[in-house]
Amino acid sequence: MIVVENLVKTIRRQKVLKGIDITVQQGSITGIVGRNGAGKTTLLRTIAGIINPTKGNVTFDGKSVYAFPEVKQNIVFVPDTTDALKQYSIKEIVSLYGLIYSNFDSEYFYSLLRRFSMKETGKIRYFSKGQKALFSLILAFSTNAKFLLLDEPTDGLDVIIKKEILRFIAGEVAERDVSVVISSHRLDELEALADHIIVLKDGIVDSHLDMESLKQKYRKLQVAYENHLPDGLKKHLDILHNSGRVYIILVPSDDEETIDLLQKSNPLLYEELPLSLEDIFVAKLGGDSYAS
Amino acid sequence: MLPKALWKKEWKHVSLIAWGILIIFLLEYPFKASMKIEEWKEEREHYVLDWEWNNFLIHQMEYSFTASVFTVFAVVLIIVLAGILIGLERSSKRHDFSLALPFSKRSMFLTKWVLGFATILFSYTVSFWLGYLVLLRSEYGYVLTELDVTTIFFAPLAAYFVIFSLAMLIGTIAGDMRSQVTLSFIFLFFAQGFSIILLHFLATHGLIYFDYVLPPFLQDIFWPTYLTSMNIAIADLIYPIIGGVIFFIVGMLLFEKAPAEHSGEFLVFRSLHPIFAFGILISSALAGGLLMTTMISFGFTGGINVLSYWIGAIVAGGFSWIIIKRLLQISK
Repeated sequence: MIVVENLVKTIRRQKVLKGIDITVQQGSITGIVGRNGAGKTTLLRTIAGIINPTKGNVTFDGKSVYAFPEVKQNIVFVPDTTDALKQYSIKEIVSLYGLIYSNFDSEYFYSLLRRFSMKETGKIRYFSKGQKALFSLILAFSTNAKFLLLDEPTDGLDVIIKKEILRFIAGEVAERDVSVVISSHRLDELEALADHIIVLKDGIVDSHLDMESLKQKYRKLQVAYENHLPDGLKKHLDILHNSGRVYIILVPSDDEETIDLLQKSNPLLYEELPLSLEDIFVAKLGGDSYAS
Repeated sequence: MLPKALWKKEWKHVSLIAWGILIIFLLEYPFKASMKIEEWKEEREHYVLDWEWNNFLIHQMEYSFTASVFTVFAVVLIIVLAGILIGLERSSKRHDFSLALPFSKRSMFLTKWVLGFATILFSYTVSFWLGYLVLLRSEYGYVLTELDVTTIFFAPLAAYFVIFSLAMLIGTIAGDMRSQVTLSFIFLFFAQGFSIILLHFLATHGLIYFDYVLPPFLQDIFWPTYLTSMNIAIADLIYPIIGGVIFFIVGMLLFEKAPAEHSGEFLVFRSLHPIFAFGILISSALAGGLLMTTMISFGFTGGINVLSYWIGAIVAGGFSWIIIKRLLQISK
């Protein structure tokens, strides 16, 4: 279990993380979402022990990652590029990882390369961008570490390789005793993958959500009126989209009073639409920069 | 025991320059010794008297172990080696990769330092003794008994030790390889250089006489002196050894404290910015004043001298201020 306690990080006199408290359980996929500059990468780099916190601590099974760096045998950080390894051949990388991570499984590593029809020799600098991303994940999963920290693993990749990577992550977590923490601004990807979502906003945890219960918390409705949505209702709901007299709105499922008022306001159209994670974030955090 | 994984990781990046250092030392010692022997064979006919010839040979033997152009290359390569070990990593994605590994920062620094110094020690020792053997097995080998070989061997080694440790220390505060290498060269000469420009300032303004001499301790800590064993006693080597040990310990402590979020900037410790800004400004102004008085008003005294000093100081200070602003802008 990774426990992040009251993590504060100040960079250039600006508080990037303002007291983060989170716990990542074994065998889960946790998505960290937030706008650009919300502190996602800083949080992951601090958990990985790359940067030291100004205040607070990160522990793995009760041991601080800063005081006992050897616990990082079980916390592998996967950055958004493979530049650190570009000078190495695959053989050299396997040899190096075998020395770094005591549980590194080279047979499993090569079997994954074969599964994805990737070259088993040569330097990774000649791989395509998608292959490099996949290679990083294969390498990380082959360490048999208990926690993987993935920083924007699908950023800039085409749809096909992106789906392949997401399927691979989901498959690995289901089959092996591994937990994954993924930072992303792509809600659609995390929606299909994550068990928990941590929303970072301006350096603090805005919400920590369980995906199972999240979608039951809200209802997405499409309503249309002869003139416009009654003003008295507007303060009780979030308008996701408005086109003329048609409104797509978000209402808390337990707010029966608002739902009752909506139904009694004589809408020309009243229908429930399938709810996505993106709808909740757009409504609750504002803007549409979470889903690009 | 330092982790094998770190050795392997570091060696991957320094192997090329390690070979470069070995080649330079091979040129410096065995190659140079072979060339000297050929030279002496031709020189022999110019000497009639045996005692003259012997004196010549003793001096030549000393010169064959003295600093040469290859020594300058060796110093440059050693500073670049330290730059590759610390600075180059900091300005690349390798830095995140390294710091995310399950090893302490102390073992990372120790591996870098030990690998770097072992490269120097091995290359130097092998080359030196190969050179010695070449001379010993030649017809002039008997002259080697006239030399203090212990000092001749250890003096340059102590100099390389202190220069490498200094460059590694600078690496812990510098944000990338360019700033590390530049600052390492500056700090190699800083204490003496700054003293000279400061004393010249005082002399120009009539506060001391122009025939000033540098305090002896500044000569003791002028590390390039030890690159040659000429006029150096074995006991004098205590200064570079103590200096190297201090730089090593301070470097290790600072490496552990260095904030990774400022890697790639000019300096990683932002608290040093005002000190460096002030230091560069003052040093440049003093150097500008010295240059102006020695080039323009050399031989003049009094008012003209002071006026030209201040013109030089203001111009150099102004330029340096522009450079300082640009340098520190990298860090914003």
